[in-house]
Formats: sequence, C-alpha cells, structure tokens
Amino acid sequence: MLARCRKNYLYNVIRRKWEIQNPGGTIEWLAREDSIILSLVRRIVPFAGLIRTNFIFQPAGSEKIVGEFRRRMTLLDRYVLDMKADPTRAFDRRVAVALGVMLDTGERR
Amino acid sequence: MSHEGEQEPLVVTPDMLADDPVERVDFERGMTYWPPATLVLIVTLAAIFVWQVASGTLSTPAGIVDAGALVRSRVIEGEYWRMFTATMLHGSGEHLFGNCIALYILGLAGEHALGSWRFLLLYVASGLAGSVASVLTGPGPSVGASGAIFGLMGGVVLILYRYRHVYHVRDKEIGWVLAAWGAYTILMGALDPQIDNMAHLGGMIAGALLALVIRPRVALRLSR
Repeated sequence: MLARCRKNYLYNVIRRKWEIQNPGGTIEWLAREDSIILSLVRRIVPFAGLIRTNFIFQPAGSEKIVGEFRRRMTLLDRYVLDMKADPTRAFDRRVAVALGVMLDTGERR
Repeated sequence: MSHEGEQEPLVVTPDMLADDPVERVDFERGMTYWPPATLVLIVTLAAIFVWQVASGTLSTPAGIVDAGALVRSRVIEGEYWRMFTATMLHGSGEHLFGNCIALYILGLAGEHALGSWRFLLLYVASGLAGSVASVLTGPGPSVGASGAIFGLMGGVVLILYRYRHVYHVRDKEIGWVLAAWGAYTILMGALDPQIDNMAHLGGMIAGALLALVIRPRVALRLSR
C-alpha cells in the first residue's frame, strides 16, 4: 500500500478536503478544493454550480501548493494533473495519479 | 582562422534569451476565514439593523427616511450625511443577510489583497460613490451596503486582472468568477425596479478605479 485517502464530509459544507495518509496512518498531504473564495461562491451564487471544481495538493500543515488537479473545459472528462510545483517529487507521483482518478470518481465529477 | 564547413560563432543577442522566470504568487496564501475589518463591518451592519427593527424604522416609509435613507431631495437640501448613513441601513432581514454573505466573501478577498485599512478605504469610498450615482439617477429612498460591496467586487477583480501575470491559474479563475457574479447581479438588478442598480454600478466603477490607485499587498511584495 502506498497511501490511504480519507474524506471528512463535514468539510463539504465550506470546502471539500481529502486527507492522504502514509501507510503508517500519518496524514502527509491534503487535497483541497482549489480556492477559499471559489468554494464559497460555488455554494452561494445560483449559477456557480456550473463552475468546475478543481483541487490543489498541499503538505499537511502547510499552505504550499505542490500540485493541481484541474478539469479542462471540454464536453468529455479531461483532466490536467500539474505537479510542476513539486520538482523534487516529494509527492509520490503514483499516489498523485491514483488521487486524480479518485477525485474524479469519489467527487462524482 | 576557420576551416572549410565550420560555421561562424553565433552571437547571442538579448532577444534570443528566455524571459526571466516570473515568481508566481498565490493570491490566497495566508488568507484567513476571520478577516477582522470585514467581521467588524458585518457586526456593525447587523447591530444597526437590530436598532432599525427595535426603533420601528422599517414599519413606515417615513421611518426609513428619518433613519438616514438616501433621498435625492433631502441630499440636495444639504443632508449630505445621508450618502453615508444609507450604506449602513437595510430594508429587510433578507436584504441584510444577502449583503453580509457577499460582504464576507468579497471581504475575505479584498482585505487579504489590500490590508484592513486600505480595504476599509475602498469600502467606504465605493459606498459613497454608489450613493452619488444613486442620487444622480433616482429620487430614492434607497438603503443598503451593496454599492460598497460592489466596489469591493470591482476592486478585487481589477487587482486580479492587473497582476494576472504573477498569479496562479486558479487565482485568475477567481477574477473571472467574481466578474461573472457581478454581471449576473447587475443583470438581475436591471430586471427588478425595487433594486437601486445605479448604486451597484457606481460602487463597482469606483472600486475598480480606486484599485488602480491603491497598491495591493502583492505589488508591495513584488517591489521589495
């Protein structure tokens, strides 16, 4: 096992959040809805449900963004997993790809 | 000295070089869910509304005018203070609630971008500009903080657009979404004669213009 992903559904009220634990159970990374502002607007403004929900990856306890998972403006599901902000590959790329698949299915996007 | 077939050394000119890498700034980095000036404004607006309800200013049209609503004839007679007081009053609980939600979201962004004092300056100046636009285009009475809130919207959108070359992709998206939100609200306002849409437009334009003058935190950080 490389990692385990857990979601606290309470955070859905304000901003979606997934915790990525290492095999030992320590939370190492977080996948969060892309923006505080956008997440609030999505929940309040009538048409804002149409805005794509993207995610950012951050180390637990830090605001540094190490990766982004964005849905492209296409009819079919096309995603961009951008890990350029993590050149040292601290975030295991296998976990990143698996997380991308899970965010697509787990978030019913 | 050169051998046959050997090319002359290539002179590297500045136009061949790649641009200096741009330091990307995360607009939301350090953003708090508890922006102090925004929360003070929300509590103040709520407290004033409680006073409005308790003193019965909402029971009659004359009551809201006496409380400080914007009325063109009164302003022309010299009651200029109405241009400020009207921005602190609300017509109903629903009106207050909608404005406070919008103020919270735009306050998160605006206060983070500008700092508390410049944020307050933008808020008050936009509110006054909204009142001026309202007085110039309608007799009133009119109340509400929406002119000031639209000013925050205009200001934040302009800052995000102006510094788009240094922000992350998601930050640019915030600008577009806020602009779409503003356009949607103005459009809805145009369909409802009860809404003082000119105050919205006046506030929004003033906020955007002020954001050209007031330096946001990102500009201060880049100039260091």
